[in-house]
Amino acid sequence: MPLLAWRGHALLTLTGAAFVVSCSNESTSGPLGVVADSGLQHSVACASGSVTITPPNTSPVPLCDFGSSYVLVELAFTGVITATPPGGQPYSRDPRGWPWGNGCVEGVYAISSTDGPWSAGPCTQSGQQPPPGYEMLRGAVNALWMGPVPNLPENQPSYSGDFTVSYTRVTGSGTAIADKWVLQAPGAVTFTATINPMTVGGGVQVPYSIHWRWQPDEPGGGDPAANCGPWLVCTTTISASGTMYADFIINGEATSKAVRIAVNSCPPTGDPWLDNPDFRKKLEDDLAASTPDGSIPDGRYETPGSWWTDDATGRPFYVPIPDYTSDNCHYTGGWPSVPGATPGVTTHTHPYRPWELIPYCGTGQMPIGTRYLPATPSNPDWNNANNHGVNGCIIEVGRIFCYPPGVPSGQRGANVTKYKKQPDGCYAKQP
Amino acid sequence: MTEEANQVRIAKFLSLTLVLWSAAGNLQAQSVPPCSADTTARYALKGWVLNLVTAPASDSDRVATRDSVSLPAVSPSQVSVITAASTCTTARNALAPLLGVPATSISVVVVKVAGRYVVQAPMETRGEFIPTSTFTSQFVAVKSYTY
Repeated sequence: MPLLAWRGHALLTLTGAAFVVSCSNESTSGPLGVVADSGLQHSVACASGSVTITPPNTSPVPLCDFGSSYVLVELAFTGVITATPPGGQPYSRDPRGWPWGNGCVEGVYAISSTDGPWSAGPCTQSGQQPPPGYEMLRGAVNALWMGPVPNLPENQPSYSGDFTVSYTRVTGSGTAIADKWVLQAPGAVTFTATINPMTVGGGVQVPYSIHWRWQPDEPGGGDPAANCGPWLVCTTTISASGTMYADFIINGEATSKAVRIAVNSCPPTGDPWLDNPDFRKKLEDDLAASTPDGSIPDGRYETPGSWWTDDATGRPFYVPIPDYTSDNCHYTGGWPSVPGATPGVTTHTHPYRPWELIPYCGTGQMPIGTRYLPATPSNPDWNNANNHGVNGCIIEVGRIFCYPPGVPSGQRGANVTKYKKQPDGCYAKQP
Repeated sequence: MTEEANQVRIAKFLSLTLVLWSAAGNLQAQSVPPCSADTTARYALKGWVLNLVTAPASDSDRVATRDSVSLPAVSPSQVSVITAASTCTTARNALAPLLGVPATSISVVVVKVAGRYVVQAPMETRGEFIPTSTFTSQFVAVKSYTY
């Protein structure tokens, strides 16, 4: 018995339900690029798109190639089709087993993939917008109009309108943090990864996998990642500086996040920035970039930089200050804006050895016999620290010296802390 | 005398006045007070000198710096900022040739340390630095350095 007898025009709204049917395993090339056949690191070419299908054409329309692994795809069907059955002719059951009518649209369209199972999604009453539908798809996928199958050929209706199948591959991102970023001695560090989003559509799990990988600064030593399973949290012992990578595959797409862990192998100075080996290394790199062995003035350049702390994680990080006008005696770089972070130190270089002769500063001639006064911030250096409310640190050949903001001008000389480079490469606080 | 002739004479007078006023202004711009009024610079330089000359013998780094800029070890009472125009004039006359500028174009900060003077012209910067010199009591330069 027909569940719905059409008389006259009927209006159908196509919804998020989908049939997934088998088809041949053919192309590995989707409309957005090439998809690798196998392997965890394959790229998923399909991102999002749509095709429009106009009944009564029942030819498959290429939708996308989602690759060799299942990926979660959001599907949406929109459109309005007006079916006009022959007058007085009711429809009965669809011989494929689904009713035709009752506001549902089974049998009207299909999504075909390589070997996906048939699945009937929810259907809605005419005129209602369906919620997003999520399907695991892989391989080449086509969309097609199947059309209601009438009992008799003479009952073939006529159609007007079309429908559009939209697809959006679910994307996610991974993050990884540590509970400590700088260690003063070997110790345990807990790494925590997160997937965002973990679920979509009110509870559909986004597929992912994670693999922890350790890259030491210097070869040798144990592999802390060996203690880490394929889980989002890993606690392991770190004994030397290096980088822990969280290698994700999130819904078929490979991505990686790095977590830098610095282990201080020098005696502590008591200054948290100086006791960060990455901070010292960056200062030394900046000094090298300033070419303190270069000619004066043209061969040397002050190099500015800044260090910040991530407000959410506490991670210290360096932010360069681009400066294309610096010379051997000044820099003019602006102060960066770093949302979500707090400035910690303003840094720059004085590319000199203590008491080295400086005949010129840029194009300006210095008094004959002028020598570089070591470990002494200039007035602009103090002002810069004051303006940004942060400590300043300057590196010269053989020494780093730091100074706080807010020091009265008459007390500046007594408020410079000096750290002299030792033969072993460490810096020792001078009394 | 016609009204037109009067207007010409008035115009000439005004032009001459303008020229003289302008010249006087230029002369004034080229001559600045010998003593700098920059109190921040005074405090800063005096503080720096005090930090050096009062360094204990155990502070080898400060002692080395003090020696390098040719300053003696003295008590704080022997360190003073000089604000006497005559001394500042002498000091800037000594410093200006080192800087390669006219003496009348600079104002100087002078810190007296026993028999030495530390002199700088705060406005005469070279890059981020203020060239600074140590002079003898006779204003003979003995050391110049960045500051």
